[in-house]
Amino acid sequence: MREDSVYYYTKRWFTDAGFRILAGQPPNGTDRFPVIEVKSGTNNERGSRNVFKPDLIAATDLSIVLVECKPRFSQEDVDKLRSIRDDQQRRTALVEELRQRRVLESNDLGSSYREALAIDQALRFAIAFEGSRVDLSDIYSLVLESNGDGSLYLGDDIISSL
Amino acid sequence: MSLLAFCDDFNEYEWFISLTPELRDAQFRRIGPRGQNPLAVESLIAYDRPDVILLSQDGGGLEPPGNGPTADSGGPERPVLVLEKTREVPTGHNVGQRMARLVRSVEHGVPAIYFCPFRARKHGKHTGICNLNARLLGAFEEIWRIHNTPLVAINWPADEYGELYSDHRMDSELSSLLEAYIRSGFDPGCDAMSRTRSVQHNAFIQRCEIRPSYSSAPPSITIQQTLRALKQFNIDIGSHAGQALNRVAESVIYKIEMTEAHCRREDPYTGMQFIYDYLYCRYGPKPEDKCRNLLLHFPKVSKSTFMRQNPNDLSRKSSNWYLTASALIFSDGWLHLR
Repeated sequence: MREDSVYYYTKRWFTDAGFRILAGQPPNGTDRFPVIEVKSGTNNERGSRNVFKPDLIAATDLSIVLVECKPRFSQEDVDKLRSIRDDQQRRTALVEELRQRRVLESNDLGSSYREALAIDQALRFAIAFEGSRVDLSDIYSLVLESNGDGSLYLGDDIISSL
Repeated sequence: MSLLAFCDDFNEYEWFISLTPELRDAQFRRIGPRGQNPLAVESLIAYDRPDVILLSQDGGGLEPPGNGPTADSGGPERPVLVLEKTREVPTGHNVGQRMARLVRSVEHGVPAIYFCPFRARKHGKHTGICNLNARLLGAFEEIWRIHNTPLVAINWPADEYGELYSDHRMDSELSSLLEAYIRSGFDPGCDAMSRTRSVQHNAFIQRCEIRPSYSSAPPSITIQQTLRALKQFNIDIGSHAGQALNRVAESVIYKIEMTEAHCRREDPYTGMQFIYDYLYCRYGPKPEDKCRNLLLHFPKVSKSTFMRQNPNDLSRKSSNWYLTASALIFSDGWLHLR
């Protein structure tokens, strides 16, 4: 499966699971959603240095999930997501970006995330790829089959809701 | 009628065919590397790759009205539309970034649509509303007139905060135009295209009224007597090339301030050259059809460095530097093109 197909089926999986797509950037194109940039530090730097653009951000009123899509399992993506998750400055920059772009309000999720802290506490991190399950206890894995169906895992567990 | 939608990305295809029921059965084809596509597609990606190329397999419909080369038309797979889509407002110099692929399309008599925001918020520390550079619309008008083929900018609208719509409001205008165009049998002169031409013209006028500087050339452009320009650049007026340039009374000098350290690039300059060419130089469909010479001036780059970094190699995008200018002027020499 190519990366744009992984993006497509991942978006479909989250939509079918009741998520709203807040942001997204397919590998070789433009989607209807905004592209969220997570800069280091204050989020106010100019240019694209040290900028992380999640492939997809999906949300319900319980969670906001940053997703990286690749044709196969990518340790690099896992490391990238962990570096965001474990860096409070970057998390703050992400929260600020989500608020400045009003993506929660425009998806009728504003009332669930009035405070920055609520957004920060709802952040989850996931990778999506085609193949077999990989044992990750701290990052969600959406494992896609060749027909586009997928299952979401955390460790050994299949997750039905986030 | 069978339709093929050539795209780089499946997600773009999925969005494209959702625009109107007329496109629902269009089949997905991926744009391959150069040399691995149908001839019609190869011709259209020669300068640059657009987001969507729509081919009709009926072989019927109207003949392309453009004046450019049409060797690829009339076959079993006829290109009927090129679409370019971006979330970025074409403002400032960025306006030229996608021009080459759009120009290539209309050169081949294939209508092209540029779907982009005319007004949207830029984010970050210096957040604010960006507005379309109206010269783009002026250039589109000229290109449409010269090639007798539609080149249309359609607005991706934004809300009151300048955030782009992502629901049905984002592309309803585009959907209507596409539906009417397809139902007309891909007639570039259909009523919907004519109305869009009028809307585009009015948008250009209105924007120039709001910001009059768009009615004239930007600071990077100088228009002067060719003789004076040739003297300024130490070009021998008696040489064959000097005489050729001097046959045209005026020249447009586009000053490009890139340095030698950063001169291996095309965007946005090779796109901007088309905008300035059509706005201030061109009267006909061929690059030679100019009422003014177009001189690209690189005051900080030597000829040898430029030629090494940007060869006229058709397999590279750097060949776009050689598409339409009359001459390239360097810090230590020049190159006559046409």
